[in-house]
Amino acid sequence: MQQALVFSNLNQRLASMNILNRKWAVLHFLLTVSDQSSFKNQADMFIDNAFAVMGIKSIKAAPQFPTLPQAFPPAAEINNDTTDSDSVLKKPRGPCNGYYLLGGSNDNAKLQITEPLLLRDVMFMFQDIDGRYIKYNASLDAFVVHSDVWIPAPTLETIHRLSEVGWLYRRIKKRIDSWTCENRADGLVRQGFCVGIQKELTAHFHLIAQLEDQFTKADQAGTADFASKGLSLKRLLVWIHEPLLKLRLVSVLVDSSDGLRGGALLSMIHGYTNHGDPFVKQFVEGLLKEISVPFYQMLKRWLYEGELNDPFNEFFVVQDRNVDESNMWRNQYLLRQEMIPSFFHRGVAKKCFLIGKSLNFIRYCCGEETFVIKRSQELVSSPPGFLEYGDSSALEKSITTAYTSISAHILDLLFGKYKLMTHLQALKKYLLLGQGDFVQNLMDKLGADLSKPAHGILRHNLTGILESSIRASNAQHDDMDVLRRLDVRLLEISTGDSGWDVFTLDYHTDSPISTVFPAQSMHQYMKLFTFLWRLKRVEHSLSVAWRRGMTEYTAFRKMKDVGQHFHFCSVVLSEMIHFTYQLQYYILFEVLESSWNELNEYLGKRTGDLDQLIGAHNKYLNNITSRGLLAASVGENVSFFDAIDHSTMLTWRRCF
Amino acid sequence: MPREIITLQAGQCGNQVGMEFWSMLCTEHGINPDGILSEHAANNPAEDRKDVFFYQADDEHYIPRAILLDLEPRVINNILQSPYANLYNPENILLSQDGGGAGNNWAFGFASGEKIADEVSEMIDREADGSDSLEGFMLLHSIAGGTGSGLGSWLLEYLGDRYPKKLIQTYSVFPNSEETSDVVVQPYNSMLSLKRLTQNADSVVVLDNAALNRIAADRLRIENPTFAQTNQLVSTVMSASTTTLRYPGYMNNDLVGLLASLIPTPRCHFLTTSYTPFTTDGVDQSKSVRKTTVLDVMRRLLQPNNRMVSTNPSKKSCYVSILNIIQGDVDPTDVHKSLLRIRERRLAQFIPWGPASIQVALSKKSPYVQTSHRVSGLMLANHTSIASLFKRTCDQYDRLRKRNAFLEQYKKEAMFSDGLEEFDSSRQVVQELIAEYEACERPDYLNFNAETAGVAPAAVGRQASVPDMTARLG
Repeated sequence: MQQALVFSNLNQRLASMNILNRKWAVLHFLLTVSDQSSFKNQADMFIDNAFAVMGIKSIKAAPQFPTLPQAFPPAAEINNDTTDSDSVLKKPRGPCNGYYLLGGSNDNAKLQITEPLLLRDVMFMFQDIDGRYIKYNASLDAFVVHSDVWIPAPTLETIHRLSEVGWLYRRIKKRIDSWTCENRADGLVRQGFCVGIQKELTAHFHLIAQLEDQFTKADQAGTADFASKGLSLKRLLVWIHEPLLKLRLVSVLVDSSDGLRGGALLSMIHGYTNHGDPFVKQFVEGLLKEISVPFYQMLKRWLYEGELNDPFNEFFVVQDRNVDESNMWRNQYLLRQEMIPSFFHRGVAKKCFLIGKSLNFIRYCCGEETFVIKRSQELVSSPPGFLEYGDSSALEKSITTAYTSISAHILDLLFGKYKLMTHLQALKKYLLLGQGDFVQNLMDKLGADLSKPAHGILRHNLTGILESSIRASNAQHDDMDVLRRLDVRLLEISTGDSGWDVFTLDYHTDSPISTVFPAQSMHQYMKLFTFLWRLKRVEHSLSVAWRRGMTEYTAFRKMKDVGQHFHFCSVVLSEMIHFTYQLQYYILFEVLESSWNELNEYLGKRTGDLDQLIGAHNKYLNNITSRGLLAASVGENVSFFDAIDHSTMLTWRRCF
Repeated sequence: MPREIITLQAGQCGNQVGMEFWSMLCTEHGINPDGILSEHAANNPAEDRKDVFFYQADDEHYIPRAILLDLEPRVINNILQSPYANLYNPENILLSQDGGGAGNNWAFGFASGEKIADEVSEMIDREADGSDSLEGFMLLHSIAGGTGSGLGSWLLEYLGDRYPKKLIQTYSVFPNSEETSDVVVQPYNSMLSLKRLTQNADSVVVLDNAALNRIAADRLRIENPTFAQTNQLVSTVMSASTTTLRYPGYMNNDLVGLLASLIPTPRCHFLTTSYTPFTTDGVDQSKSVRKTTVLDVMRRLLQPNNRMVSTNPSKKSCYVSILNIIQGDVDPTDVHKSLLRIRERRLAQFIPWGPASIQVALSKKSPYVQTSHRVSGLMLANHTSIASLFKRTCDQYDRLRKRNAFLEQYKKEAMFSDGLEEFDSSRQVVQELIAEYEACERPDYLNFNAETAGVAPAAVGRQASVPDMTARLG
């Protein structure tokens, strides 16, 4: 009966429509459409379209937009939902279209409500408050209109669109509340993020207040004026357009921020500034300005005081507190690539890292408090807009200058106060045997001791000899500080070793110089020393043999049969001498001096930072090692020299 | 323990060269003529080792480890009137009482040695005791006259006996053998000295007046060089050859190290020198504009006309060894390049029987001497053509000896009163020396027998074993 009424009504209206001239075709089309078993596709299309306008989906695929299809379940699902007869805010469905049709699925006539009432409820919905007719349904995760209420389909459609605001607000609010309440330790950047979003939400409330104000005024003015002056759902839709975009964006940001912290969070948000839509770009940039405040605070302290004020571990520098002072430069601070905000160029971040590290190095290793204090005063005098999100070129420029000046200062300190050059020269002189007279003297005096088995050697005897060698040679004119550092070291003894095998010179370095000469480099120096020392020993014993040959030549001459042998020995000896000399010339000119020249040239420029300096020194050592034939074929060389040693001894015996 | 070297200066030439040498050393070390360190040098902690050649008296005076010996007073008096008079230890100056000189008679000079033996040995012992680790002695003399050759020879024998383990290096000025000399008996003197230089010295740096005059004329554009000027050349060579001892570096820090690479067999210890570029005080012409690179210096050092000995190299003549001491502002990488270039061009011919090459020592330049040259170089070389010099001496000797000329003066002395065997034995020693140098030019030098001097090796069995050993040493 009712259906017949509806049908006649509709038929009448259709017939009275003069605009439509292909009435049958229209009806047929509608019939086909209504036959669609699922509206899902349509719903998807709708959403896609909606966001295509936003254009956001194209930016980030991973964190999807709040999935509205779930929020507004497809019609088919609703239909199956027998327990709930509420008309969900969903696309209007065919069966309940009609002005005069009061009932839904129930027979009781439904309540028709006026627009102002609906508006009030919508307002509530915006604030995630349940109104009289529109309420949030947790199980559906959607706002639903009370089942007793009948609302015309276009209105329902409008309300549906408006409901997105409330839904998004609800989502965002929930997330923020959960962050602020539970995960305080999630970092300052996250908190900044919350604050930024709160601001957006406040703006949202502000808007609602305005709307409400307008609404009440219109309400008081009376129903007659209401439609013309006051708010209508459609107007509301216009009003809400821009805030809705913002809320959507915020919601996306909120979702994608999951699990991200500190710099990574900033990077993620910064990613949205690349968006083509100037609105999005502007909005995200504004938001970033808020959010990045704590980050820049940290950066400031790091750049100007070297302090790592990072309670939540979100800065791109981390400190390892277990590292002792001597390894400070190398190991104490680490650069976390993933925490570098993407608006920071890697190079700039590296420089920032080095600046802070350098400040700490100057303060703790070099004990130069004043420089750091002076530097921190610079911050006070810096312009207010300095170090904020945005002006990246100025930032880069200022960081580069700071980096250059601080690096230069460190080099000045090392070369000036800490006499790095003197130490380098000392290492070359003593560990690389550059100070010939000292080495010769040491070898003369140590000879007797070192020929003993290694376990019978007492270190303090050797240090005594070292002392006297220093005093007897030109080394005595050297810096006292340098001489104090020079020491004897005995390597690990294995059975059958003689003193020669285990003896090595050592050079003590302390902080901050030890930063340039870490244990590994010193080990390399000692390796080189052992090699050169062996070579010198061969030369030395050959010289002794040669001298014997020369001075006792007359005595040999008198012996009848020895002459020929003696001659032969002399020639062989001279061949060996020639070989060792050639080898030494090679080492001296091609290895030591040329590598030293390279290093010296670099050091002369006084450019770069400490890391580059360390690199240059390492290169110097590696050059010597590789060119000195020590790198790959160590074993070969050693056996080679053992062979020479043997033949030396052989000649020795023959000479006697 | 600075490996001290005691310098002995004998005769006119020796003392003149010595005087120049010490004044040059003083300048290089920043020591004033009175032995006090100049203010400039005192304020800068030095890289040099003054104590190789000097020792410090109680009052901070630097005193040369030098002993001045002469049989006539002229040269030493000159020294004592020079600004350097107070430099030397007066106890180390010995003038013969009669002051008449040796009269160009080797025998007289040698005999005078015996007479002053006590005083000389006292001086030498005192100096030796004053050194921590005496490396050896340096004798400066000429072998033509009477004092330098005779007294010098006596000194060589004496040192060989008294300090058998110490090295003896001599800087011996040979006579100008190309011209007839005013000293007619100079071949005798040379021959007798050569025996001692062969047998008692460990290294002889041979300089000869002919070459020195030629270099003075060619390089310094002095027509008739005085002895003072040629002696300055000698002292330049001496100071350059001792730079590595005085400025310790990575290598060649002692005399042994320096000589060991130059002298393969004990008898072949006669070294020639070249030096470039020469400058002398007050000779402006010498300051010609020249490019001095390492290659340039090395190349010029190999030119025969820069050699300070006049020899007649044959086609077979070759270098036994070469040591270039390069002073000045040198990039070590240049050294290698220069050596390669020289090898490519085959500028130096080396012995056929063993490995040999140019060795290079870089040495610091004294900060107290300003030169117009960026790089200067000294070549110490062991070259077989030195034998031609000995041969010439032998020829001249033989001519005199054949006629038994001018032997009366020699017979007056005890050594020759019973006979002239000493002359013959000296001639024999020099002949053997020449033979050894000639053998050096042949690939079979390894089988050279010192006793038979160039005659075929004694035993066949031994001959077989020798190539075996060479093969092993490869």
